Amino acid sequence: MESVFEKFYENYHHDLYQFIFYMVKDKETCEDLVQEVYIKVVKSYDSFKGESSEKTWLFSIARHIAIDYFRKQKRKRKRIAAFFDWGEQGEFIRDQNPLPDELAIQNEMIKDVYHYLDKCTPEQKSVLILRYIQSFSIQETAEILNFNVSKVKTTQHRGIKKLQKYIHSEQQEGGDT
Amino acid sequence: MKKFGDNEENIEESLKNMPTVKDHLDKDQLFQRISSEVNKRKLVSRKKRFAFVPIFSAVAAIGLLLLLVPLLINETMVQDDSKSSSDHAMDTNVADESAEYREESGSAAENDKHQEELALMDQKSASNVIPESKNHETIVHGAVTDSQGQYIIPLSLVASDTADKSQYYNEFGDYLDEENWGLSHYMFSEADFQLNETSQQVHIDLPEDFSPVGRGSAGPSLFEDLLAAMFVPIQVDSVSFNESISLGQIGKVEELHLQPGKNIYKSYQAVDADKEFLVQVPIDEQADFETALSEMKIDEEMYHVTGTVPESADFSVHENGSELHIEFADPNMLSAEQALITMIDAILMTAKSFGYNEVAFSNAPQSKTGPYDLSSPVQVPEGANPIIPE
Repeated sequence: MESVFEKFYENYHHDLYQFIFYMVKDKETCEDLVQEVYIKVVKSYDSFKGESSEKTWLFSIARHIAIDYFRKQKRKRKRIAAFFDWGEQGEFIRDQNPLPDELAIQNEMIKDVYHYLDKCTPEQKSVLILRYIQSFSIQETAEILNFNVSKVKTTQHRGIKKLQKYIHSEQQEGGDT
Repeated sequence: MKKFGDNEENIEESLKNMPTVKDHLDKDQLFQRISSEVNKRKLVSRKKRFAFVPIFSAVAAIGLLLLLVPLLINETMVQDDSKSSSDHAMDTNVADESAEYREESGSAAENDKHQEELALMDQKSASNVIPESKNHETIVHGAVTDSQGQYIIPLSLVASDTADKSQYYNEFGDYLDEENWGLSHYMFSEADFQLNETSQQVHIDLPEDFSPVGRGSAGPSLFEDLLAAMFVPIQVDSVSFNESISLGQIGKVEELHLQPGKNIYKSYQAVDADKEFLVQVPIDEQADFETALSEMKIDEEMYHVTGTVPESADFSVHENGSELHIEFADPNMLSAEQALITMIDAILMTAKSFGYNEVAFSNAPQSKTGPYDLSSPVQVPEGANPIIPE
């Protein structure tokens, strides 16, 4: 178990942490999910058949765990919204996670992009993080997400368009005032 | 005033320049946490397995007690009866006790029934269908494809009948473990369903980048088949979407009319998957049930699909309105009980797809097998591949 952990930690820990952090944007949650990923890895490494690279295998596990986390959050949010009768508005309550120090010192544009990443679907978010923040190739991204190459391209394009739409309307509001 | 820096290049540059976020996880500490968690989970799963033994013993003991109590009372009664002839006051007493006995024997009958149900529940574990929904339960139908996106696997979530069905549809993906079960990812995990059973319609909000076409050439037809598997069983025949979606050759649609297709049922289990499923395999609309039974013998190794009817099996098939009559040519053709149960499951689901309500079996290898009593006609099931929320 230790050797499997050691190998994945040495080779991919940094990338894994960044991927999950930008998916969930909360350090504490990120640490819990990273731990979950390693647990899954050491438990199922025996059944890993080498059909994909270890890297894409690891990241597809990470992606499943992150998506699973979002699903649970969505259920929780719906229950809370139903309880307080917020209805649809519950979906629009902004997350209260403080901006990490690394982001706080960045320019407005980077902060906006970071903020509006949440408006993207989990699939768009995964593609944008893997392709831009982590510089993964289209092929690697496709393997991780179990998409074909053209779907990666469309999802990437739609994600960028969505960010553009939100940032544009915020900047327009900023300009009008 | 902010500058307009929202062009695509700027956004792409900003993403590329996102800072590295510092990781405060210490490697050794992390490993300690992981290994203790792995060991803890192993222990829990072992404990869970062993917990079955005391629970089973307790249930058996309670059952035995419930059976013995009326017998003991009965014995006391007989003694009372023999003494009662000489004493009127005693007679009254006995009469009272008789009444009591009648009550007790009523509850004993209930207990017997309960015992039978417990036994059935135990046996039912071998079956992979839901015969009928019980009181306070409703079945929510979902569907996924096998890992290669070849065939539809219908799923039946057992839900409380007081809950909002739309919510179950929205959360359906949460009840699945596609990876360990060897299934494709649930196509509608990010969709939002609004079900209106009165008007027999469902409205689906699909995520912006949803495209069934992107999922291979079989995408559009699988998409329709998935929706049919989910909604035809509850008589919903029309699906509308938030925006028009492209369905390959069909073109763009905002609404779909669901067509129930004829299917036979075989068995699917992916390599290393810990669950076996009944899988729908489409068959020609003109095919009769005899053809269906012979098609059900065929294995499709490439897709990890195996036939549910043994190669050597031979039947004669008659139809009587909504009842199908199947006579086994050789009652000795199948000795393994599990194979027989799986075959009955698959035949019943196939019969349902062919529009029958009941199936009568004759000359069957066993008159009782698993949850089935084959000595009288069997109703077609409510759904296949039950999923019972924890």
